[in-house]
Amino acid sequence: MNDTSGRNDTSGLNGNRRLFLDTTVQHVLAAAALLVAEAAGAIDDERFDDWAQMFTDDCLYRITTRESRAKGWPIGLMHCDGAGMLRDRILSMRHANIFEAHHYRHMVSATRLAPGTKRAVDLNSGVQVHTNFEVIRIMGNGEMALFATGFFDDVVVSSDQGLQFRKRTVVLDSSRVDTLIVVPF
Amino acid sequence: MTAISTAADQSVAQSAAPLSAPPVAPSAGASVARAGPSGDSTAPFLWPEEGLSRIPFQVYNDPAIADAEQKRLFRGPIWNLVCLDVEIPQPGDYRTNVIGDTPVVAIRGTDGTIRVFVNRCAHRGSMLCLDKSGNRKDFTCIYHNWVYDLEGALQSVAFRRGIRGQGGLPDDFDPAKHGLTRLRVDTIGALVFASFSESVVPVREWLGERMAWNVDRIFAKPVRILGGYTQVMHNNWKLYIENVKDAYHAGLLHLFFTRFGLNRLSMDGAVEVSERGGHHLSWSKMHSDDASGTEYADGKLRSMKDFDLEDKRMLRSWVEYPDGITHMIQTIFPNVIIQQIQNSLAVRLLVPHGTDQCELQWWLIGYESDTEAQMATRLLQGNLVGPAGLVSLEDGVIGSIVQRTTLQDKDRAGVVEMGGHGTESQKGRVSEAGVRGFWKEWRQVLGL
Repeated sequence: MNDTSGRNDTSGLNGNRRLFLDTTVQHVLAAAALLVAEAAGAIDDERFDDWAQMFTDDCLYRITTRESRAKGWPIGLMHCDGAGMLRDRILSMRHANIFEAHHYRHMVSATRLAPGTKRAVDLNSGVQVHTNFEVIRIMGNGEMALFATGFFDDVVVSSDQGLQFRKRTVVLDSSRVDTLIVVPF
Repeated sequence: MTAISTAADQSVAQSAAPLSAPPVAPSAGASVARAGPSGDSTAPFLWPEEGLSRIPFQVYNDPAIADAEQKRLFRGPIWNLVCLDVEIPQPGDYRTNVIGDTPVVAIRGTDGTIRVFVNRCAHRGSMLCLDKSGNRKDFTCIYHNWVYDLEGALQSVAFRRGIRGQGGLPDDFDPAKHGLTRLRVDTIGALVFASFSESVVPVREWLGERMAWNVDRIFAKPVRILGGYTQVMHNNWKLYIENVKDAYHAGLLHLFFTRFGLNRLSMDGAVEVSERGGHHLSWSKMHSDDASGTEYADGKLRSMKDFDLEDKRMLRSWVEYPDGITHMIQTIFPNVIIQQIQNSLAVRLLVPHGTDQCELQWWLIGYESDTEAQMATRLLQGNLVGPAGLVSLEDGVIGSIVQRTTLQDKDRAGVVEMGGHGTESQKGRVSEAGVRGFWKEWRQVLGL
């Protein structure tokens, strides 16, 4: 895929025009979008173990906010350094934490290359992609509300396990969180 | 039903008599003593005769009480946290917030002094600063272009002399009488407080020696902000404050505290309550306890059940302060919390929204002098706190779970007798002395 180098320059309109026609980019984005959709589906279906397996062992999973990113604050809402911490979050949710039962419904947008992606798009070395999302929270009593909007800032990589997230930063649009976050996004 | 009625403020009772069904006669448990017959809408609000060991459910639900709090508490003889001084380091830097329901703005003047104003143009009441933070050379109102300097004085009025002799302000208009409403300001550590009261003593004196000791302890070195977010909760603000002051729950509700030995009731520690009751400290020292012979050891507590983490790095900590205290929760009356949970340091401000909602603003802090390793530890321990915190998320919902059961039975009351009936400081944290202390000062300030 090295031969695509230089044709993936997304800076400026010409770059984008070339991008749309680049079958490698299309292929990569389609694959990344599939992973993003699978991850959203796994959370919504409460298949959390499946979800955790979509991350590399050395993954970094964070939930932060638009404000926090703008200010350059290091501490966000959740910070899992490695798949073990992701599994611990799920274990805690199932067996340790006290909260009222609820589930999510994700709506995700098309997946796009992260702005400023200039180098060759290569899943073996990792591709940074962005996907917008809305999450509706459905409480046990049926009460539904828009819970979060934002975007996934993902680094997707091809590994022995198939396609996985090496990094996922969930960037929430709002710094206000209703009640609590225990189910990851 | 019952409205607040005191000689001090009759208008409160008149303006917001809540509409609700007549109360049912209490069948069992605690009841709120009343002067008049049950259901008499003119009956005054009376605290239960048992005193501070009973908390009448009405205090969480009555709009008249919420209104009285706005007038007598948040605009009363207390200090309100507005922001941290490190948020506004340069002249002209401002930070908006609210005191109760009132929008305010803290701004650093060209002389370096921090001033706090009601965030409202003296002309028609338009808000002057709309953003959370920014920098201003002056306050120019977007509505009619009235301009105030950073000390709040009215500098200019658009078309003050009218146009060609027509319109404009009358000659007797005195700009000196139309400045911004300026509040008293005092700081301790990085905390910027403001007050509507002319009579409240300076912050350090108001806190008292022991309470100021912990503020000085936390702010002994220059701090930097490491994070921030807001948690919206569906309960009366006082239910959250009670939760923070309730040292008894921390070692029971929060499995992470008990199971991993971060904070257990069996550790060395204390609940300390200020003289007036409203401020408190609850602290403990990790590794100081022997749980054997306590209920922690007999396997019946949910929070001690078998549970383990695959990756324990977030439980790693260093002894932050020479006193060896690893867990310190402080409340500053009525709605400020200073937190040391291991190496997770934070300031929280609780803002009421009506009777049944509140928001908790969080400032996560560290020190300018932090090493990279210390920063990494604070980052991982950040997983314990905030709306997604493995500990704090549970506090986000518990108030709402209580609120919903108190809506109708306003003549019933919660029972707070752990650690006795008084508000004195005690070594044991199986105690609700901090909760009783809060109500002692609340009642004194509200006159209820």
